[in-house]
Amino acid sequence: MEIEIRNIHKSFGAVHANAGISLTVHAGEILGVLGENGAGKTTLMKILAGLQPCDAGEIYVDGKLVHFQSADSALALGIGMLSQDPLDFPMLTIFDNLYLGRKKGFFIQKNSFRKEVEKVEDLLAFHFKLSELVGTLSIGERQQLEILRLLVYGSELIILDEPTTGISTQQKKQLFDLLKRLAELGKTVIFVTHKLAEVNELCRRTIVLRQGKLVGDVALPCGSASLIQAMFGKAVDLQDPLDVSRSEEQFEVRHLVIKDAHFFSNPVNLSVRKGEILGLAGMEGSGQKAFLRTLAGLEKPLDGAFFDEGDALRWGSTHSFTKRGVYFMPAARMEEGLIQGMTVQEHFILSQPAEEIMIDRERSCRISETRIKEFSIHGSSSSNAEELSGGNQQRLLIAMLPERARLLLLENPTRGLDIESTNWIWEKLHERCKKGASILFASPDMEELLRFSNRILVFFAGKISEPFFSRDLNSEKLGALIGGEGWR
Amino acid sequence: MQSDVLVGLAGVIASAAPIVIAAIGETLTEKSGMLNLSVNGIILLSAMGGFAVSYRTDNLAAGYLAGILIGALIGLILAFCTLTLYQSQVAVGLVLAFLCRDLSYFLGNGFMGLTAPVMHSATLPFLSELPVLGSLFFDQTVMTYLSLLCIPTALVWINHTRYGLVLRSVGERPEAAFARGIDVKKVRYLYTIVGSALVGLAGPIYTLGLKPGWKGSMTGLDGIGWIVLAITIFGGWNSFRVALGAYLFELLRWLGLVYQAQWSGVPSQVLQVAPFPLMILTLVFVNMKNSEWFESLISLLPPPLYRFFSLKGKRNKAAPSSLGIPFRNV
Repeated sequence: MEIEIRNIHKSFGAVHANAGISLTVHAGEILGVLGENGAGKTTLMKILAGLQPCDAGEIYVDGKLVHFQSADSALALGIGMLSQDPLDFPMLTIFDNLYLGRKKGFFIQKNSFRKEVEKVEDLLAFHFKLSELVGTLSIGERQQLEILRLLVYGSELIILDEPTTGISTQQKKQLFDLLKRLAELGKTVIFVTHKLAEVNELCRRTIVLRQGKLVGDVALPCGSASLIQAMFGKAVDLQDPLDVSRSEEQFEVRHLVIKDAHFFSNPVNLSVRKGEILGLAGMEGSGQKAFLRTLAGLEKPLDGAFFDEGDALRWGSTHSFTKRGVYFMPAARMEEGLIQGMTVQEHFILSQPAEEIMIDRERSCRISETRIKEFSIHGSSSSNAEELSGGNQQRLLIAMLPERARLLLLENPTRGLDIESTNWIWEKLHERCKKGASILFASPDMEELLRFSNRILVFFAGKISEPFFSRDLNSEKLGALIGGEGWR
Repeated sequence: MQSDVLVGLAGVIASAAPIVIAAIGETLTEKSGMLNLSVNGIILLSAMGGFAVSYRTDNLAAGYLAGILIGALIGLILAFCTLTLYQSQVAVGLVLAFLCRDLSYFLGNGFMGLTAPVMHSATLPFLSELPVLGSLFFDQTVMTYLSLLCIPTALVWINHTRYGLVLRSVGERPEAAFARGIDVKKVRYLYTIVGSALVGLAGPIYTLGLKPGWKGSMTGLDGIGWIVLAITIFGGWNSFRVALGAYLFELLRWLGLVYQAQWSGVPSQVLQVAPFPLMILTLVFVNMKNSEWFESLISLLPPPLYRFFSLKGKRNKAAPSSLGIPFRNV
């Protein structure tokens, strides 16, 4: 199937998200769509998949002009999209989830539909237990399920929007193998991402979007530098971590045993220097989150002690941890980090130490205006947290960390952010380090861990390694450790 | 003596009929993600309206039809306020509940103490001659048969038809259902109106059958609607369990009446009110199945009994995920 889009325009208020984009996608191709956060990638894809109407422009499928009213009508023409957050039903069975979307029949046709599904499953070489609930699957499996569903409904073009956010390295490899298989079967794949390495690995051709315009159509593989130049319109500098070998130790953990839902860890002994950045590597759910939450005072350890310059911190009240300058930033931005329905300004008021009963509107307004400028948050004091884009929510979270923080515990601080925003956030974090703060951060991105941390702790199925100096590691070694190889 | 018990139990099945029908109606509505709190008001208003229409026309069927239409109309008002005007389901539902109740007392003033046609039992040939079952189930009114029929129909509709799947999807994750080409608003409108119509049918079953006549606030129907809501929740949005809850409630009420004569020392009010707290306790007990200590307790039972009581691995016990949450199309 050949898709041609001509001169697509879409505006949200004053923002011109898509400004005249034209593009042709050929059958059997894996096309990369590259761009920083807010470049208009998702908007364009939603228009193509019928999830959103465009203001102007045309879409041709095999030379025929088409109009979509909904995702459903796009799927009927063979265009299916996998959203960033899979649009499926956690409380339904896999069978019911697949069946939803059929237009005919009164009773549910169990057997004939099962056969249809199995036929497609055979093509893709994976099988689901159809009676299980969708909610029991991992995010990676739910993506596979969505791909399966789109194919069952006759999708010829599959659009994936940032599919590698939130899945493990191993699942990513599975996904890429699956996508290559789809291309072999003659299906067309559009792969949206802000990660250069992924596009280079998977695609033969990529387009680059910047500020709603198509700024590049590049054959791959090619050097990163030229792609970065196209994505940001300028080269991006990367920062190295500070040299902390001479600075003093400020936090110490002795014989700490953490508990997760599934396991207890081995005892950990660790000291953290002023200005040091420690990375926590491992597959999602290997204990990094529990480790950070324990150090933040949010969860009690099974055993062990935590010292701040020689004083032991007591678990039981998170307040005594924050008083000492220990702060935790969760990965689930909207669920744990920010409060829906509250404005940016109110978030800043909440993050300030409570001194008086009444809110000093003027002062808080001033604070919020300066922070918004300093952290270049696209939004105003009065915008609600959920109205901000993902990247800006992350900036807001960072901006809310108080000045007096001495130990920052960050869970995936750059989740879903492009290179420039990532670097920008790390620049801000480095400033904190120079002032003497220490940072512990968890990340699924090995490059980020290797680049920004002084030392790395590896988590694997409840085991926690001794800290490695990141200069002694490379991505192969770290990848093996994360996968459970090379442990003593 | 034995036949006394049978007659009593047949009475329990008959008097539970309106509760079964109303609770299944509410289950359908809530499965679509809509919370209809006006049940109590609908039952009262349709009880009065159905009686009034039946009195004026001297026609039994017209009375029942009026009840259904009143229910559907209130459902339409609720759906319009919440789905089109985006008002809170809880606020609109509560206002309607009290408005309809007072409206029924006010409009019903002129119909107090009058007599209208009454539905009599329609004995089914052959089937009613079965021992025990015959007198329990097949010597009842048409409405009781309907209530019995509703239980498997709703179960099959929700779990085994494509339309039922659409209904569940809308209640679980409307934004995902929308992406699958389902008109979420239309489905919610439909099930709110249909569910409320079933609730509306419950009213005339009382005033044109079980407790003939309209006696204003003395009719004794105020409060039934809230029990219906509780049964819907505790029954886990499953029509079979919901019906069990309704029968349990009426059984307790009947036992209260029976023992009133024997325990003359106990004030009659205690026995009249007892079913309500007993109901709550039972339902709480039923829902303790979710707890681990209950699982370990019943694991001592023989396997078939254990499987009956255990909720391990069973579905449909959880509330529809988006119950009460408004949905806006893009």
